[in-house]
Amino acid sequence: MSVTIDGRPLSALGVTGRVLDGWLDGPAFTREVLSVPGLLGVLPQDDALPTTRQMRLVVNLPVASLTARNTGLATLHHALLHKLLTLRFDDTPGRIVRATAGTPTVVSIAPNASMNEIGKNLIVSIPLEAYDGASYDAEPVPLVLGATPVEVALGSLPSPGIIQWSGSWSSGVSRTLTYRGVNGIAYGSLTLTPPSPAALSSSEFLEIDLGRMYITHVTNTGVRTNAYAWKSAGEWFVPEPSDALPSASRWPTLEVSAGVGLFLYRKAYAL
Amino acid sequence: MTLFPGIGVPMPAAPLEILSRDCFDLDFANAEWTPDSSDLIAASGHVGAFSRGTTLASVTDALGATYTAVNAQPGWEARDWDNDGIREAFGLRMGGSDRLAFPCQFRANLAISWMIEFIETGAVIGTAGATLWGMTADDGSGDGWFVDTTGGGGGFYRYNYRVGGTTRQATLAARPSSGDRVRLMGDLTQPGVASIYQSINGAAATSASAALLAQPSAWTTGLSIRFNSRGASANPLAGAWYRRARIVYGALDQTTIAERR
Repeated sequence: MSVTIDGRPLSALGVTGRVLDGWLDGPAFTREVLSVPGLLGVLPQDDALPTTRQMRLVVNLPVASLTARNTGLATLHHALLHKLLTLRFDDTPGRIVRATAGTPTVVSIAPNASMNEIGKNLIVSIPLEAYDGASYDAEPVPLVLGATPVEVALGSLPSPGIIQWSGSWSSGVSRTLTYRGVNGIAYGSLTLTPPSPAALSSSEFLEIDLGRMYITHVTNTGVRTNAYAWKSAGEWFVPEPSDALPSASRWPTLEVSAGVGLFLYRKAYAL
Repeated sequence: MTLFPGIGVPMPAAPLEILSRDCFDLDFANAEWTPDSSDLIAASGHVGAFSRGTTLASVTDALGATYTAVNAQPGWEARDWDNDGIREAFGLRMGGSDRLAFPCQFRANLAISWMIEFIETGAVIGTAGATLWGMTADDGSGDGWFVDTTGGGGGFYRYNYRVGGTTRQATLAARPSSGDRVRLMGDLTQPGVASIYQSINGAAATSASAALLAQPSAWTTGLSIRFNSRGASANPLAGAWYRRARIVYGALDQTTIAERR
């Protein structure tokens, strides 16, 4: 079966695949709504929320004897349980899905064979649950940003990322990070102004985490301090494929008004 | 006193983060690097300290554009790893001033094997004693091992294994050119034989082995897994792009150790 778990094919776990469910389903999305008394209709929440993604893997576990069942299951448990697993499927080999495994359960064996050497081999069902139901490119992408808009190729879901912004930056001077859709309209921007006496020397950089909404000043020796106070205007944004034209491979853009930016991100997919 | 837990078995934690049970498992595409910490955290949980006291020029992004990484900014660089002309692989470009060390504590007297993938980015291999990576004390001394270069006309990679002031060396007989994709694998048997295997651009590996030198009963205290230098300042490599590295207990299985989560 075309799945690897933490880089290991099923054969390395001593099993062979029988059934794989849900690997191409992607996360389901829900959107909460609010009823307003006395009014017809509802108010939908701005953002849809993804739910967990359920997958199921059923494997054959061949064993040498009845008493070897325990060892085989223990090996499987050790490989799967109590950690975040990285799953890869052969139809999307460059992507990973991160999931945790529920307790493997042994599929029922005919009563007259359950404790008979004839029925010693097991069939094991392994539930897999991805709390983050998206799949991601295994490799992140670094992109250099300048004053000219740079296209940010995306998957089919938004990709928050980190921007490392360097270049001498004096106190009180504003610089802007701008996000534009494929139509050139600015859908988001962050304007940063170092409050006196804060500044950025030529050997320092600013790190902006679009996902967690952090702004961090990093000195030339790697010392980090919160620089959220530098945000003087604008709203947080995340590059998203709804601002792109994927069929023409045209993507939203990022630009910085001065200095040099490095955008580090990972493409995310609904499948 | 029955020794049954009073309220049932305590469940092990199920951390929702990448977790490897390898001795050491660092894949730069998966390493944790967050704005609230200057640490680089390997999948195996080792916490590495990165530093550079100067800039690193001409670091390349996924589209081929270059930037200068300022002090303390890791040189994240995209490279072509599958030879299709597309810069799809994410890694850390390190220059002569880059330091990256992961303090570690491994048991001795056990077979270990390791793997590292990288691309040499300069005329490194002709420099004698430039260190690619290793497991050494902070001053680069003591019992441990490291991979360095022989230098001279051409130069080769060399696996150095050191116990009690005695060093055994396994030197490869083939060399990569700058820009070649290199996977080095090595092992150290429990009795103490060090062997190194080199695959260049995906070709079959060539190897070299050193004479036996018994493992110590314990490794030197203060060990770190170091990339790009032997000690805190000793024998830095002139430049390479690092993709990932693993260390596991047990004999080398070239297929298994190359597996990528």
